[in-house]
Amino acid sequence: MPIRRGPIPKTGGLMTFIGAPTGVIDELTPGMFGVFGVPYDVSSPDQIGPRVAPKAYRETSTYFQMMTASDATLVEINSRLTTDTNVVRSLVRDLGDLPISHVDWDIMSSTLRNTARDITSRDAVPVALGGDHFITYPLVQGYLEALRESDSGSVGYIQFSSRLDLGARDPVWGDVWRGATARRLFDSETVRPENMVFIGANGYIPLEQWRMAERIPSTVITAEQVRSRGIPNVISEALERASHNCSRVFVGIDIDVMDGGYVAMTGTPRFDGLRNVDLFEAMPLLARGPVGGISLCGLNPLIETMSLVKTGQRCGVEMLIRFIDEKIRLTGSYK
Amino acid sequence: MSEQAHQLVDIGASTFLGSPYVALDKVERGMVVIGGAPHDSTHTSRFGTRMGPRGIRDGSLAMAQRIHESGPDGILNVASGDQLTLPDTKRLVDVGDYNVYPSDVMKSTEGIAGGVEEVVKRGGFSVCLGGDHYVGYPSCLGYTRAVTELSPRPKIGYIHIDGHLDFRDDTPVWGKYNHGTNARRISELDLVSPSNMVWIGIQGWSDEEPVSAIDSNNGLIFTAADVLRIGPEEVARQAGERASAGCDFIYMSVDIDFIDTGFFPATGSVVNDAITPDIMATILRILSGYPIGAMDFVEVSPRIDPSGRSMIMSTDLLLAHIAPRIFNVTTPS
Repeated sequence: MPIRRGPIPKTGGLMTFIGAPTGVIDELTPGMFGVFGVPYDVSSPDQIGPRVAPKAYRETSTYFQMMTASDATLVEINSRLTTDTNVVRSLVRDLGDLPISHVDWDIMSSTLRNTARDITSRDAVPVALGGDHFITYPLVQGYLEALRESDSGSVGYIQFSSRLDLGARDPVWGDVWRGATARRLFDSETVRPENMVFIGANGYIPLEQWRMAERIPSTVITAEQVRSRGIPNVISEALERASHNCSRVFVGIDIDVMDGGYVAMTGTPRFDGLRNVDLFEAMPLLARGPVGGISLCGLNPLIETMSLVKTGQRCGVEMLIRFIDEKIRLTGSYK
Repeated sequence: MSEQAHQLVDIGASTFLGSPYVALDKVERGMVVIGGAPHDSTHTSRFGTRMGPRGIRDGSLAMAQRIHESGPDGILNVASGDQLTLPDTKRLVDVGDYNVYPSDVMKSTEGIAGGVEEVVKRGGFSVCLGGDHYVGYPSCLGYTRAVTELSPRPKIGYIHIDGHLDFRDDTPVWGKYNHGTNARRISELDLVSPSNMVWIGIQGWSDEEPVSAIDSNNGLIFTAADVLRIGPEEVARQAGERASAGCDFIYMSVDIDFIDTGFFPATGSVVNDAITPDIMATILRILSGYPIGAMDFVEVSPRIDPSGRSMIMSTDLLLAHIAPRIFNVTTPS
C-alpha cells in the first residue's frame, strides 16, 4: 500500500500475502481467510530453513498482488472463470506471524492450537504458511476444538506428502519430530484413522509405517496411483473418505509431495513426485469439499540456487490462491 | 563459426556459436543474424535480462565446441536422425548488440528497431536476443518496416510463445511500453493482422480486458494446459496454420518463461506449468516449416541461474528453429 494515493510497482509496498490487508483474528467474519505465518522448523531433522518460508511466500506473492487490487476483474486463462479482486480483498487478511518458541514445544503447540481454534470459531478459514510439517498436528487439534464448540466435532485429514509421517518417535528428535505428524494425530485421537488420507507417497517408506497405514486402516494413494487415476478421481475419493461422518476436513500439504524437478527447495526432495499442475488442479476440487483449514509446509528457501529462482514459494502461493479463489466463488460472492 | 577449427572456442570474443562477428552492412541475403538487445528497464519485477545476450552467447560455446570437434561428418540429431553439416558459406553471423538507452524507452525502441530493420532489408533472418520481453515490440517494429521492401503491402501473422499474454494496453506504474504490453503494441502495427495472432503456453490469471480484446480480434490462445493435453506437435501445426493463413510472413516472439521454471531457472517471472524444454524445442522445430521471417528470444536472466544450464539450453532451443537455416541437413530416407 502506498504512502500517498497512487500506483506502486508490484515489488513495492508492505509485504503481505498477495498484498492483502493486515488484520487480527477478532475482525475475521464468516467466510474470511486468516493467513498467518509459522516460522518454526526445529522439528525438522533436515536442514534448517522452513522458518524463513513465510517471508518467502509473502515476498513472492507480491507477483499476485493483482488478486487484491481494487476494482479489477481477472480471468483464469484455462477455465475462463473470473475473479472480482474487490471481493478477494474484502475476505483475505494477513494476520502476520505467530509468536514462536523454538525451545518449548508446549508453548509453541498451544499457540498453534489456539490460533487455529480462534480463527475457525469465527467461521473463517485458517491458512497456515509453514514452517515445518509438524506444526500441522496442533493446528488440526485447534481446528477440532473449534468444531466441537459448534457440532459433533469430528475432523478428517488429507495429507499431501512424499511420506506418511506415521513414525512413533525419532531416536534423536524424540516426539517433536516432523516424521510423526500424522502419528500424533492418530495417537491423540484427533482424527479417526478411517478419516486419514495420504496422497502422494513415493520412493521408499519405512515398512512399519506402511503396514500401520494399512492396519489402522487409513487410505494411502501413492504418487503412481495419482498418475494412473488422475487428480479428479483421487480427490473425489479422498474427500469422501476424509469426510465420512465428519463435519469438516483439514488439509496438510508438505511441499515435498512435488517432484524435486519442479520444487527442489525442500530438505527431502523426491524424484518420483507429483507435478505442480497436479496440485493446482487439486486445489479447487478440495475447495468444493468440506475443507475448512489448510497448512502449507516443508518449503526451505535456503536450499540450492532454487531459492534464487523461487519456484517453491511461487508454486505454494498459486496453490493457496486457487483454493481461496474457488472457496469464494462457491459462496456466490463473485457477481 | 571461427576459421580456427582446432582451437578451443570458449576463449576469445564470445559470439553466438562462435559465429563470425560482422558489421551490419556486411549482412548478406540468407544469413541468420544474431543481434542482442541488452535492455531490461521495462521489466516490471526482477531486472537482469540485460545480461541475456551475453549469457546466451557464452552458453552457446559448449555447443560450438562440439560442432568444431565433429569434423566433416557434422553432428547428428539423435531424435530425428538428421545429419547436420556446416556449409561452405557462412550462414550464421553475429552483429553484436543493438543500441539501447536504459533511461529512454523510445530511444531504445528505435535503436533495436533500426538494427533489425537493417538486417531484414539486407535479406537476413533476424534473431534478436533479449532483454526483457518488451524487446519483442521494437524487434517486430523493425521487421515490419523492412518487409515492405520485400512485398508491396505484406500481411504479417504473429506467434507469441510465452507463459503470459503480454497484451495489457496500459499499466499504472509502467505505462504503455513494458514487458507486459509488447504484444498489444505489436497488434497495433499496420501490417500485423490481429486475427492471425496466436499465443502458445499461457497460464495463470490475466486481467479481463486483454483476454476480451484478443477474443474480439479473433486471436487464438493455446494455454499451457492445452499444450499438455493436445500435444506440442499439434499445437505448433495449428498455430503455424492460423498465423500464416492469408499472410505473407510470420513474426515469432519467444519468451523462455513458457518453460516451467523448475527446468529453466534463469528468468525473472517464475512460471509453474509443467512445460519442459523438450516441449518448447518440439514447437520451435515444427514452426521452422512455416514462413517465419524474424524472431526474438527473450527474458533470459543469467544471474538467477548460477549453474548456467539455462543459457546452455538456450542454444538447443534456438537451434531447434534455426538449424535448417544454418546447416546442410540430411534427413535419413
